[in-house]
Amino acid sequence: MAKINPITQEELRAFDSELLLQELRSRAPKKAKPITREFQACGCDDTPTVVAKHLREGETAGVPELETVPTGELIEALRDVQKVIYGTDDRLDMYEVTDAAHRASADGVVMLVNAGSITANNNGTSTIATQNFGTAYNLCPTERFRHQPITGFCSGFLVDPSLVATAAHCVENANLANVRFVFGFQMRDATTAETTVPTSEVYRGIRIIGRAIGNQGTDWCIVQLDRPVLNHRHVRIRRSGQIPNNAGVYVIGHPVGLPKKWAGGAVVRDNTPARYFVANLDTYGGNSGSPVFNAATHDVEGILVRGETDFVFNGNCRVSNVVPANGGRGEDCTRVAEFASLVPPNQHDFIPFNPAKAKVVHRNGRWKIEVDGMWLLDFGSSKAEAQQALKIIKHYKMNTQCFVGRPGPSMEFYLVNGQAPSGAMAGEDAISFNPANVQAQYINGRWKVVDGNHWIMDFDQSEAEARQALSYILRYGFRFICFVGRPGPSMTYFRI
Amino acid sequence: MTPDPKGGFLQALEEAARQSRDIDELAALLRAFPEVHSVEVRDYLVKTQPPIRELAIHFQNTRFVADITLHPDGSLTVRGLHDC
Repeated sequence: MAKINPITQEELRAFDSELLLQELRSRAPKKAKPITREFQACGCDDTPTVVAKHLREGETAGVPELETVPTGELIEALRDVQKVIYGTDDRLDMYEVTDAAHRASADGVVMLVNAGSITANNNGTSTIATQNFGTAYNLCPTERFRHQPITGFCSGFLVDPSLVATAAHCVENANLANVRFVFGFQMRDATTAETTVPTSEVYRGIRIIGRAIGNQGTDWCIVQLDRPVLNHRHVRIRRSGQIPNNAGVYVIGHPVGLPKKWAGGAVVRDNTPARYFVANLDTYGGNSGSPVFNAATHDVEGILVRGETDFVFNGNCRVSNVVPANGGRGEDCTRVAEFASLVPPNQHDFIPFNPAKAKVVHRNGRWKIEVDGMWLLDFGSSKAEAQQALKIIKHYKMNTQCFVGRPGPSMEFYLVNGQAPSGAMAGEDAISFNPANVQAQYINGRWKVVDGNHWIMDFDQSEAEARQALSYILRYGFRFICFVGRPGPSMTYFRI
Repeated sequence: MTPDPKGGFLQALEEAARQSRDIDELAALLRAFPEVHSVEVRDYLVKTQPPIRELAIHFQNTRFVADITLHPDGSLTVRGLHDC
């Protein structure tokens, strides 16, 4: 005869959350021994040692009044009575997220997958090999998302059309060729996962732009992709300073390799470490590299890298490790300002004009190209250069003039309806380069954009301008730098 | 004795990981190695999938961090050894 549970649901929810937790923990088959929080155990790091009481220390006894309550009911009750639950599920699938700003934040989040897990279908799509989450982890029936597929090993996010940020422990030169960056792995609805994605949503990394791990807990990596991502937003990152103490944060990524998840309801718990902060975010393995957003500004503040134990056994199956909102060790998030110098600011200085109205004029002894009384270009005493430039503008139908670093711009280029000018023009002074080889480098005390051993542009001491110029070259696919009037050109433009 | 991370110690570590049912058992096994002075289980998970637990292994003259991958089926493998 089945045992009758003497406690009603209402009575169960009247229990203190700590008692519910105590009973849940007493059912785990094995207790973890107390351990100290010691990030720099080897002594190679000068961060002060922080000793924290382990969550399970001394908590071995169950709660007699709760011993007959099924574990699933205990977990459900715990979720209900805690205002904020850290360590279980604040997570939502993307189809459940309705806030426009949060959805925009999610657009640039990518999953890192082993190349061998992706098969091209030869019809413009690729299929990602997956496992069933519940089966792979032997999850208890109460666990959310247990019927969903898992794949992938880390998360990342676009910080520029050609750059992905992730955790350093996810990517290094040795495995870069075997990593694929996949957009669009998410639940379409409650039952359907997008395991087949357009092949155009799968990217390779061609170069690690910067990487740091270990020094005072820092852990980040910036990867240049094989081509720019033009159909997803790149996030805005904090470029200096620190997130405010106790600020609200949310995370978007691929916990356990699940379809993309949003998890909010968290706050910065410890803002004192120089290179990372600690928050009570609901994250799991696979969240490494996830962007951690400031809930007020939607700027990325951190990269999720380390944290609390994910699962514990409940009898013969696993459940999420439930800890109070202010319990556990917290989740470490590397501060993104650490690598902000590698990320172009992307504050575009673009001026649209009507090429049909462009004309050569002579004002105050100088030859210029003007549009509706505003001058675009100044050629000094060279009428021939002004006429040649006008021919070029009209030939390509250029309608946007773009700058990096005004006044005294270090780069100038033109667009045609938001695209690079294309084709060629007779008599053009053009030098080709290979965009796959182009990099920003610091050479002999000056920042340059180079193609192998050949420098294309010089930016003196401005790393930000060099990286912004490189970003534009990659974004628009420029393959030629062209001049009017070398040396000391009066007009420079790029084309494909 | 200073162990060669690429040599005998790594092999012994891999074998110990294969025999262990969880990270605490692995740490206990390593503490029984004569050349090992102490083993510390870092309190955090490195949140790759599958996640990694770090063991700081102290020898007489040197120390390493072992990255131990915690597989969903409960098995442990050595992802690598590195300086701290």
